[in-house]
Amino acid sequence: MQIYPKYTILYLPLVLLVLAFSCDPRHENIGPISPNPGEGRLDSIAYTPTAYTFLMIPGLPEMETPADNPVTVDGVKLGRFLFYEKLLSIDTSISCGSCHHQDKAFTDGLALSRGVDGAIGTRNSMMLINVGYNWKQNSAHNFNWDGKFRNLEDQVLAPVEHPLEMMNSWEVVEERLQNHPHYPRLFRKAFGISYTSDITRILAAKALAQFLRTLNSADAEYDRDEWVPMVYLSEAAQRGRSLFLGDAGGGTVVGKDGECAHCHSFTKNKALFAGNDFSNNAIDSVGSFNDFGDKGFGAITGNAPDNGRFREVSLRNVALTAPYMHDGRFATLEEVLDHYVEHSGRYRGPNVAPEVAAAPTLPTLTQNEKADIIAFLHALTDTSYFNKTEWSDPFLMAEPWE
Amino acid sequence: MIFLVKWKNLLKKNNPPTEHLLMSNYKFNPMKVVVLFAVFSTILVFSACKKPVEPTPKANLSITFRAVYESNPMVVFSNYATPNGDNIQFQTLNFMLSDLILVKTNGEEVLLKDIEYIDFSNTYDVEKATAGIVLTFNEIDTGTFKAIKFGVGVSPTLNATEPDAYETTSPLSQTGNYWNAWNSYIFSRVEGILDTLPAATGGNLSFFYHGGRDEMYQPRTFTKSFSLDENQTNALSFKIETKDIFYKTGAEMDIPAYSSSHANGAVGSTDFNVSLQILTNIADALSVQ
Repeated sequence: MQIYPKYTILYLPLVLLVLAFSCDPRHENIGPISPNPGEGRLDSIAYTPTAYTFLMIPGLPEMETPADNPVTVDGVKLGRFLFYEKLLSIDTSISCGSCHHQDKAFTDGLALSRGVDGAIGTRNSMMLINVGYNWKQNSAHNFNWDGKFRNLEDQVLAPVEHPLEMMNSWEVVEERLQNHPHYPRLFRKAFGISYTSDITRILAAKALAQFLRTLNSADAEYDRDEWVPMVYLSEAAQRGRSLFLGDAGGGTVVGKDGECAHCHSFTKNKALFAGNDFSNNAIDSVGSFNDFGDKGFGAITGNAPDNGRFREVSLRNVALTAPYMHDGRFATLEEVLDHYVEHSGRYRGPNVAPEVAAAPTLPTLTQNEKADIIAFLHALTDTSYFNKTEWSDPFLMAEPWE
Repeated sequence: MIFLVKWKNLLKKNNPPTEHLLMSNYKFNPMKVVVLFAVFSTILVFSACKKPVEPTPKANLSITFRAVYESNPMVVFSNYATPNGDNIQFQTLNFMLSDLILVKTNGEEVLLKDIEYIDFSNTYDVEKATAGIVLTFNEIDTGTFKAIKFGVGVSPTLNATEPDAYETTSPLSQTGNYWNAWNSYIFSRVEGILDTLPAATGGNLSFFYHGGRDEMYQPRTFTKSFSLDENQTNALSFKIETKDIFYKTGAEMDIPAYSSSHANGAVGSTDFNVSLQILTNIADALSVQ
């Protein structure tokens, strides 16, 4: 075959084209095209997502996040607005923040939370400090007292339509947000949507979840004892820590074990004080699995032995989150300790956690020893975020949308 | 091949055999440049794409663990008769397995996983108990094997780590699986009740045994001849005879006398020995089918 030099110029682009397309036939995904082009365009607003940088807090591990909801600065900002947004409720009377107060570790101080028109809920408002750490990638039961939700993104959707909470529908909320003077801009900046009609409950949930994942704090007396040189727990709290861990904790109390750390576990670098599994801690005395008034985890799994089991919650900030248990039945920490001392070692039902049912020394704790454990629980109180602006209600600011 | 022939022809044509590497002897030929360009660019095109290399044969394997009581499926929260005339009920039974390894007939070892968590706590009915806990391993070497081995518990290497070192996909990430008090993972949990008490006190004695320290790690090798073939469903199964955890002759555990253990005592102490006995019994109760 004879090749003529003058055809070289034709051959070069051909080779380059073949090189460019020979390996990967995929084309770039340019994303969905809005079904309602024209009105409500948001393209003129800049979309420059910036990854949110989580603070590295001694005692807390790296935050894991779902791959389909990366946390961004603008996502968190939008989530904060939505968290305090009363438009989510049917009569615009309450927001998420109504049951989750910043100065109560994002609980509300009530036994059972109140919804629209003062409707009384069925559960105690849960603490939200460090709530993002409740997520276990392989678990389907990561959130709520009963483990109903796998992801924060799923959990935050529920209160809007719950008849004892916001009593609203997401269709209404989406319409309110789409027609709002400010939210379309915030959604555009958070998620790069092109049209107001692109605002959905899914994106709202993602933003709320992003905000919740930033509510991380570990600056209690316990933490300073661990991380600050020459700073120590009080003597009472040190004794309480030993009882909390058991006599193997190496403290001054020998021979007694409060068995607390079975369910409220922690390590120095992962000090969450939460097992986040589900157990029956003997607060109800029942004859059979079917006798529980609130079946808790069992209502979600459908397994009778799970009835009466509830989440082993974090004890960080526990002194701020009274009343206690899933139904707020105990008003004080003293009542909680009295329950464990009086009821451990006794038959209270077919699935009481053996750590409670068989606790050898828990029933023998004295008043002073109970007081020591409570002193340690108070050492888990963190007030450093009470006035943290970026977690506070933006609508209390003079110019919230600026 | 065509290009190689052309390349040789070009060399023969323009370069004397002994002098063709000298630049001074190089004679510029536009035609040669075109041909060379064609050769190299074509080679580039073909080498830029991944050549379909012949894949090494790989197999998939499932290993099923079933808990039984006297060879029948063990259902948690169900009563089973003990040799002492009591009824025992398991409510929780779980344990860690470290360094799951298949041993080839030539002695070569294939690591399947460094840690697994076997948890029978949700085997609430016969169907679930019969199904057991299934571990699945993909893309492992094919061949013929003579044994499988693992350690019951957390190997000393892994036990030197802490939960914050792992993503939540790992059982080692859970602080609930770790004893902060003595820097060890909990190797196993055995919890339940024994109806040995008088009815007036409820009739049931609760027990719980949470064991775990380096000294309690229980490596075991299970002899089993098998082959793993490509494109076939390969399966192994183990059973754990739960009765042997407490009632194996010569290794009985007196539950009423020692109804709980944290593995927290000094080596040789009663608490230590109880936990060690439970872990030893768990490992010995396992058998490959």
